[in-house]
Parts: sequence; structure tokens; C-alpha cells
Amino acid sequence: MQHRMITFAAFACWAFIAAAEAANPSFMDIDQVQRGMRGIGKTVFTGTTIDTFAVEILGVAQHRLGPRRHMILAQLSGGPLAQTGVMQGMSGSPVYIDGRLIGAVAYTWSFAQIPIAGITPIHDMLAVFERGLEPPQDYGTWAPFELDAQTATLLPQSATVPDRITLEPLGTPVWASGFGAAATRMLDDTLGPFGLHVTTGVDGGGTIDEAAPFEPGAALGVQLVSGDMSITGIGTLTYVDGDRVLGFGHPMLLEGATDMPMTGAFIYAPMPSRFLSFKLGAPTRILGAVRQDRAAAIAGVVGPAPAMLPLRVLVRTDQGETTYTCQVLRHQRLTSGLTASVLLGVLEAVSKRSGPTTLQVRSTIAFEDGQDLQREQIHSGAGALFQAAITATQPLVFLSQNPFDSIRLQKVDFELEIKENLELARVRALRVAERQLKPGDTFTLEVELQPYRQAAIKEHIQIALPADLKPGPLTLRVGNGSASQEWELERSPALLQPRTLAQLRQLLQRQDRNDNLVVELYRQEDGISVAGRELPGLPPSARTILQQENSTGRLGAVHGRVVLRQRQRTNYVLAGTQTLELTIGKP
Amino acid sequence: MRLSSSFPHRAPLTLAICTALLLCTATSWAVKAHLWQENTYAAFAAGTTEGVSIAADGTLRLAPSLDDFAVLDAQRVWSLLAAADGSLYVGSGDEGKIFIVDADGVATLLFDAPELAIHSLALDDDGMLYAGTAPDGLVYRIDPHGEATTYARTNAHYVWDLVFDADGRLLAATGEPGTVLALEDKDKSTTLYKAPDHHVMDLLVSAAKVYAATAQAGRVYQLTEPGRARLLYESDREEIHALHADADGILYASGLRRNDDEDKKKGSALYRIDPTGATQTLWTHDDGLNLAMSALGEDLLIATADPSRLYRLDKRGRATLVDQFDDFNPSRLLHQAAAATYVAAAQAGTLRRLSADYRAQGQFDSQVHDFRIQAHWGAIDWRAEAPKDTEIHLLTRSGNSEKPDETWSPWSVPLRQPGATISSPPARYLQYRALLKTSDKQETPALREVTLAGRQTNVPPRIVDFDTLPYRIRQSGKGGEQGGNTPVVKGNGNRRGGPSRPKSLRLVRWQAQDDNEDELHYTLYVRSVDQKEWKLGQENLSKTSVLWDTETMPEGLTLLKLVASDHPDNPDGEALTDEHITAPFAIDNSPPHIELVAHQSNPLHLEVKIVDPITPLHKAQYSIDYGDRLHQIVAQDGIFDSRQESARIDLPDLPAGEHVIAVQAWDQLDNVGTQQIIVQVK
Repeated sequence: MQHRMITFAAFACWAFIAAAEAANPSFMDIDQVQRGMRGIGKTVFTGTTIDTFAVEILGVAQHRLGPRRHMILAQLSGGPLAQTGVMQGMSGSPVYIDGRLIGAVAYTWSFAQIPIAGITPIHDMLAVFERGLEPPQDYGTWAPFELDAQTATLLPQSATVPDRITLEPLGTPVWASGFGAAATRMLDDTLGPFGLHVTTGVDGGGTIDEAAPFEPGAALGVQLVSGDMSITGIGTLTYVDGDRVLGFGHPMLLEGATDMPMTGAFIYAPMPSRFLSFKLGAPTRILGAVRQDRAAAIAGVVGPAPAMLPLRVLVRTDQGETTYTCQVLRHQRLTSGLTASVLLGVLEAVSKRSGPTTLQVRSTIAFEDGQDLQREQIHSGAGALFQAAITATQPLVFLSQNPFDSIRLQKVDFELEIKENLELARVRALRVAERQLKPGDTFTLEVELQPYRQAAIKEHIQIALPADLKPGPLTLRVGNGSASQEWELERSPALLQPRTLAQLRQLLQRQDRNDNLVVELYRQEDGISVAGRELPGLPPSARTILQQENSTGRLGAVHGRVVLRQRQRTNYVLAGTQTLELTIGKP
Repeated sequence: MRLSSSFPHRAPLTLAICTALLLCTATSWAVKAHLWQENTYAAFAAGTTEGVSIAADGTLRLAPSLDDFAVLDAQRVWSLLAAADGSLYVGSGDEGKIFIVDADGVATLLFDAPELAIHSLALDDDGMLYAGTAPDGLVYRIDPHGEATTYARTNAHYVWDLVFDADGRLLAATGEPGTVLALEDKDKSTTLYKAPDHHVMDLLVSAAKVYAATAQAGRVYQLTEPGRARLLYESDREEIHALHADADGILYASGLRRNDDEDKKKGSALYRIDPTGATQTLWTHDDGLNLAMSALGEDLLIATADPSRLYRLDKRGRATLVDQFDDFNPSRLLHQAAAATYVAAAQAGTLRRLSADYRAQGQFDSQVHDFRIQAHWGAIDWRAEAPKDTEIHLLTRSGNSEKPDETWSPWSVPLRQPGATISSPPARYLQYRALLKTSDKQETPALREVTLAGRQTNVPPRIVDFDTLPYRIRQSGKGGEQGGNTPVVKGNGNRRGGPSRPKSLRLVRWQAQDDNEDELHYTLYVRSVDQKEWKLGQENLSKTSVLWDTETMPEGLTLLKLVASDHPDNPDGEALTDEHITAPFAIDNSPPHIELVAHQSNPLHLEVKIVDPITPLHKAQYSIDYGDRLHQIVAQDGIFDSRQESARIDLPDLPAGEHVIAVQAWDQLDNVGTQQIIVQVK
């Protein structure tokens, strides 16, 4: 009993001293850190209470984190660490020796059975402050950005469980709330290249809002999505200097100057895992903005959070209408993937993952210049949800990666109508009364459609041939909106290669619905495009002038000419194409 | 180009050639000179020019100066318009810019349209500029400060031309569709004519009439009343792209690309349409596509592509090749009577100015002439005028490849005097270069004719074919012997004892070549295979076949020898020959010998023995009592193919009494032997 009392007294005394030193922080340089030194660390194991754990220095690994970037090795103990080992979510936990801050827990070994951690030295972390904490200019504006293929292969790929014991950055457990399995897999594809591990969360964002202390050792979140669904990376706050903070001891996305919402976090419980244990947590209130995301730490400023991209998803089903709202991080490489994941998450929540589904999507992307981009598409089939999520968010990919100009979005809206049936039909046959026609003739095209597991039906389309049609052979072809776009791509790839942001917007606007029966009359005739615009039917003199070229890259070949294109809306999502050769005689 | 083996009649050249011939008699080269002479437009046009023009009459002169005038920030020039103050409005592509170019060639951007190209420009009396564009077919009105408004939307893709008519209305020619619109005010237009063609390329207002040129079918219309037009001419071209009217009201229409042959969609033409409506094709050329036309004094200036050239045509359609370019592709022409003619580029935003002055120097490289075998060169002569302060120099080079390359000799030193000896080394191919210079921009030298002499190395003739065969006579009626390639002579083959026995005729024929194209003479020799000396048959034959009557020749296997000689075109001792001997052939004018022996056995039969000492037998037959019926005899070995054959004739059914059996036998040269025998049948 006496022994216990002494121990308690010693612990209380030691804790008191440590707390005093922490209140008056000073730093220990890595040169002073010696094997055998003992100290404490701070982190939240449950709730928002900052707990301490014991630290024994094992040594300093030179250049372990990169050139001139050393790592302090330490064995941790106390709290649940004997059961969990070093946990994801602890990264950023400050470590003090003699009350002096030496750095933050940031690394461990996967599959390790004892809690040995790598500590990022505090001086490496403090250097991040020197990069400045002002919001980067035009962050969230999608500036021209191209990643060549070779560079892309060097980026980290999707996070996978390693097959050997490796030193892992403790990483940032990314908690995704409101996402089903398919949406989570899509999130993995989006965040994996950044080295982030997605874990399904236990709570939606914003519901836990405790006035927790925000001091070294507190849980720290970086928010990617908030609202009805949330995605937050959670670590630990290392150091506070006025309104400036340091955390994580490693990067979040490693993208340098940044502007991401910074939150507090609530830890439900430590979660032991043979691979790598983690803290089960959720974001709490918005505390400010992360402005630097560097190899040694993230650095932020307490205060207002950066504006995120408002996303609204309106869903109509036979059960009624529901609106979901979220805010998505404005990020050149993440916004499209996060948006697609949110959309798929909503679809999974209100519908089903597979089976007969017909889905109509109207999307509106509003730009801050007052313009907007509106598209409509319809999907039907077992994979309709996935098709819808990918197709509807594809413009965000093109816009974010456009090499022409910076662009900033105001908001993104999706309206979905979901039916749990199949409305599919295949274009099975075409028929015309006469294949020898004359310019100006009007004829009826009979299109036979084969609906899924229903009797075939016939659509009749009146077609009026242009009066100035050249005599000769014509190809009549019929398909859905996507087929029409593929024909266009074959006809002239150059016409679908935008040269300006305005052209890109126009091209994205041109999406044709797949329940449209598109009829094209096509003639073999070589043409020319200039700067992505078709010059139809050029006379010989103009064609010759254009072909006297001292440069390359402006002219494109156009193979064939569409002399007529008509659309007729049907009650089916169409598949298949049919063609018929016609002959136009002299008038 | 003319290759001639006869001497020209002009005295200086004759002297020059004679000099060359005298020089060459001391060499081992053949004496016959080949002359290469160029003095026509076609001959000179086959060469290449740089700063030299070729007149319709085949005269080379210095080309007029074509100087860089302005450089624009554009990819090409589509339209040109002169302002009253002498400056130019220039419509360009591919960014739809309009520039003002001042008299010094300084270009200023006036308006940058969102369209790709400014295809047409027009200026009203108030100084407002109208610009027709593509591909949205808009017409902009632009004030002198560059402030633009959309004046008209034509609902076409192209606005190819804008002109004001006699009433001051702005007319627009559009493409896709092809219409003529009257743009009466902003956003107010009337369709004057909707052409059946896809494009209206050009509008011409002349004597208060409006003419339109179209593409798809290359036609010329006269607009008569709103909505109607009279077709003046439908050409054989896909496009009439430009019209011009002279002071007499004659229309000239420039067209391109034949439309009557899918494989030959090229070439251009100029048509003349007189006020009565009569049309005439003034000028055509298979290469080159007419892209622009403008007046040039009384003449017309035409710019072509592929190849890039400028032509000047008089009203009779006689063309002068003014200049041609490797690095410049004309797209538009603008002639300002008082100043200069501007030539705009299709491949860059540049303008050049064509002046009345001549270039300081120019160069003409002839086509390469093939002397077919290596030649020694004689003289180069030329006919020219070189006024004061002008010069003409000629240079030559030679080689053995069809196209000049690094294996050719370098250009010779410039030759200043006609009749100079060509110093290039002996070779098969020869080319000349003419350098024309002037130090007085108002004067040019004129080169009218160039003649070069080459003497080929003599090579022996070659006999390529030599044979002989019986010369058969076509029999009247059936039964004539016409086998294989044997030549036949019409006549009566049954005549006997005439002055000539046709069966003794043989055709001897041959073919020979001479790469020098020398005249060849032939000599025929004959001998039997068992003789050693050739006997002269015929000599100095210039023909290549003879009929030879062998009746007087001894019979037996014989040989013929042909000697071909080029001595008619070469001096004694230098003439060369070739000879050829036939395979042995038979001379046989005797009939086969027939022996008949009758055997009175039962049945009666004859033994027949036929012998020809020279020629194998061909067939045999017999008749009975001189009857018409002929019976074929079958050889004992089954076939008549040897010089000696035996046979048996069975005569089982002869009535009792005396009978005459007559036997005929042929050899393979149709000599016929006959024998008869009298038999008694009991």
C-alpha cells in the first residue's frame, strides 16, 4: 500500500512537473535526445480528454525520414497501448522529455506487437510555420494542371495491406460517414493515391459538438466532406502558438500550401487491430484552416474555415423526395472523386446497389462567373447507380484538369429520379420504303425496338431531306445519344479536343441522352476543322488555301459530314445501333 | 524542246555547230550531233524559275519585283480591300482578325472577331467596314475605331463576298447554303437568289447588273429579279471562284477542279463570256488551282496553288508565267491601278507588293535533257536581247542520273558569248541555267532561244532478231497450207512450170537497234553447212526483210549471216557492226521419189516406198483410175515424218480389168512427187 502511495505520489509529482513544462513549452533539439531518456506523450484515447502515456527513447534513426530528416525511436506505454500498440489517430501526439517538446508521434510498424513509434522531431515541424499560413492565392480555383503519365506512376497508389512488416506513417485515419460499401470503395480509389486509409465512420459530421479543449494532445481533424455525409482525417494536435497550430507529424495529402477545414474530433474508443490499430473517431466543431501540408507536419490557423463547395443532391423515388446537402473540399484532384463518392453514397442509401434500376440524372454545375453547365442523362440496368455517379461527375474531372484557364465553381446540384425497374430497349432493325431518294424528299423511317423482356415495338420518324443535298450515297445510322457522340469522335477527333475553356464547357454541354433515338444521315466527304471548329462543305479554293500550311496543330481532318441529325425521345434507355445505305439521286 | 539531227538555218548557230564538228573530227566520237533546242513556252515552263518570267511566246525575262510589304499576326489572309486613302483592310484567319495596313506596310489590328476567318470585306461611303465571316456566317459592321456590331446573321456558314450594288445595297454571297442576300439594314436582309449550288463564291456588279459565281457546279449566273437568276454558263469545273468584267462588258470567269472525272479533279481554266452569252474557254492548265484573279491593266493576273504561281493573261488567253514560288502561296490579289498589286499569302499572315520594276536578277534552270547515252558536248548557243545595263549568262552542268544530285558536275563558269563550247564533262544528261541581270529596273534582258549540241559516243548496233522461213503462197479455196506463223502470198499454188516456183521462196527478216539512232545498213551472206566461205548475198540493204528465191541454190542444209553496220552515220573506220547467223535450214526444191510394186495376191495390194533425200515426208495419197476420190495412205510406222517411209495399199474390191493406181507424196516443204502403176484384176 505504501508502495502504491509512493508510486502515486511520484506519478502525480511527475505529471505536475510535465504539465508545468508544457504550459511553458520549450523544445529539445534532436542532438540532445539520448537513448534511455524517459518522458511523456499526450493524446486522446477516448472522448475529448487528453491523456498521457509514457515514452522511453530507444535512439535516433539518422536520415530515416529523408535526407537530413531523422526520426526518434521510442517505446510507448500506458493507457490502452499495451493492447493496441501505436494507433492511427495518435499521429501528432506531442512527446516531452523533461517538459521539453521533442516532437510528435508519427510512425510505427505494421503488425508490430509492441508499441514502438517513430517521432518526428519538433524542429522539423516548427519549420513548417516558416512557409507562412496565409491562404494560398486561388486555392480552390482549378488552375491549369497537367500530370504527365510518368509522373503519375510515381504517386502512391491505393492503400493496401502490406505483406511484410513495414514502417508506416501512422497515417491519417479517414473517417467516412454516410457512405455505403460501393461509395467507400470509390473513396478508396480517390484517396488511396494520397496514402489515405478510408474507414467507415460511426457518426455523421457535425453531430458531436463538445466544447473540448484545443491544446497539445487534443484530437485534430481535417475535413474533406461535411454535411449530411462527412469525410474527415483525424490525428492529434502537437503544438499551439497563439492561433497557430501544428499537428500530425506527417502530411495529410503532402500538397504544400493548402486551405482545408480544420476541426476538433471526438474519439469513441481505441480500436485494436493486428495490422494497425486506430482511434474510432468523428469530427466535432470547425476550428480553423489547415494552411500547410508538408512532410513533417500540417500547420493551421485557428479561426474561420475555408469555404467548401456546396453540393445538393435531390432524390425522387416512389417514396417521395429527399434533399441531401454536403460541402466538399475544393481540390483540383479530389473534388470530382469526393463528389462522385457522395453521389454514389446517396444512391446506395436511397436505392439499392444492384438489380433493375432506371435512373435519370440532371446536373447543374454553377460557376462563379455566373455561367452554368447543365446536363441530363438516363441510365438503366444493374449498374445504373455506378454509371450515374461516374457520368454525372465526369465534367468535374475535365474541368478540374483543364489546361486552359483557372476556374472556380459556385455549387453543384444533382437531381435524381430513381425507378426500380428496367426501361431498356435495343435498336433491332430499320426500314424505309425506298432507298433511292432525291434531295428534298420526305420519308418515314421505321425503327424497330426490342424492349427488355417485352414485345418489340416500332417507332416512326419523319425525315425531310435537305433540298440542296448532293447526289450520291448516304449512310443512315440510328443509335442512342452516346452512340452519336462516338460517331462524332470517329468522324473528327479534333472537333472533340477543346482549345479553350469555353470550348470545353460547350463540349461538356453537348451530352446527348441515351433515351434519345438519334438519326444521322452521313456522307463520306473529307472535311477540315480549324482550331476545333468544323468548316463544313468547303469549296476547292478555300480548302486549298487552308492546306497551304506553315504550321501544324490547328487543322484537323474531318472524315465525313453529317447532313442531317434528328432526335426523338423514347420511353427507353437505348442500346445498339443500326445503319442503312441510301442513294440520293439528282433532283 | 526539239531534238533535231538537221542543222538550223540561222547563220551564227550553223557556224558554231560546224566549228564543233570540226573539233570533233579529231576525236573518236561519232560525228552526228544531237541538238537540244528550247524556244517555246512549254519547253521553258518545264524548267524552274526564280525571279524570271516566261512569256507566252517563249521568252524569258526578269520577273517584276515582288517585295515583302506587311507582316500580320495571322495564319493566312482571306480578304483584301483598298481604302480611299491608300491603306488596305486585310481580313485574316484562323483567328478572325481584321488589320489596317498603311502605305508603309505597318499593320494595326482593327477588330478581332470571335469567328475563325474574315472571308470578305466591303466599305461604304461613310467609312463603315463590313466583314463577312465563317463558320457562323456573320456580317460585322465596324467603325473606323474598330467598334463592331453584328450587322447580319446570314444563316449560312460562310460569307464569301460582300459588294454594294448600283442602288447602294450591300449584297452578300454565302456558302452552305449558297445564296445572294441583300443586307438592307441591321438584322434586315432579303434573299435575292437561292442558288442550287452550295456556295456563291463571288459577286460582280457591272453596268448595273449583278453576276454571281458558284461552287459545287461551277456556274455563272446573272441575277434578274428577286428570287430569279439566269444561268449564263455552266463550266466543267467544280468552282468558279472569281469574276471580272472589262470595259466592253466581257466577263471573265476563273474556275478550278474539273468535275467530270473523279480521278482528275485538278487543273484550272479561264472562261470568256461575251455580252451575247457566247462562252469560250480562254485558257486551261492541268496543274495548279486558280485561287485569285484581278485586273492588271488590260490583262488579268491569276494566282495559283500547287504549284504556287502568278500568271498574266491577255484577253486572248495567252499566258505569261510571271513568277513561281517555293516559300510563298498566294491566296488573294488586289490591284490598285495607281499604286501596285498586292499579293496575300495563304500560308502566313504576309502581304507582298508586285511592282512595275524588274527584279535586279533572276535565274532559270532548264529541265534536264537526256542524250540517252554518254555524250561529248559541243557548243551552247542562244538568241537574246540584252539592252544596256542588262546581262545574260548561261551555265551548264552534266551528270548520269536523271535528277541532278551530288554526282553531277558543278555548274560551269558563266558563259557570256553565244556559241561557246560547253565545258561540262561528258555525260548522259545535261542541264543549263540562265542568269538574267539588270542594273536598270526599267529594263530587262530577254532570252528567246537556247540550243545545245551533244555528240553521242558511238556504240555498235544490235541485231535483236534474225530468222528465215518458207514463204508460202495462199491457195485459192480450201486446202491452202497455212501453218503457224508462216507468211503466205496470195496466188495460184497449182501452177506448174512458171517462171518462178513459189515454193522456192523464203522470207528473211530481222530487227536491229542502234542506241545512237544511227541509220543502219545490212548485208546478207549465205553458205551451205558443209562450206567454209560465206558468199555475198545482198549488201547495203536499208530494209529489214527480203524475199529470197532459193530455186537456183544447191539443195541441202544452209546458213544465212546478217551484218548490220552504222556506217551511214559514221566515218569509215569508225563505223561499228553487229552480225548474226541463222540456225541451219533446208533448201529443198525436189519432189519425193516413189517406188510402187504390185502383188497379185488375193487381195491385190501394192507396196509403196517413198524417199526424200533432204526433207522429211509429210503425207501421201492415191487415186484409182484418175478418179476424184483420194485415198490417204497410212505409213507403215503409222506417221509420215521421216525422209524414208513405206506403206501398203490393199485393193480388194477392184472390178476385173485394167486399173491405174496413182500415188502422190509430199515432203514438209510441199514438194510433191507422183508415180503411177497399171494393174490387171482378173
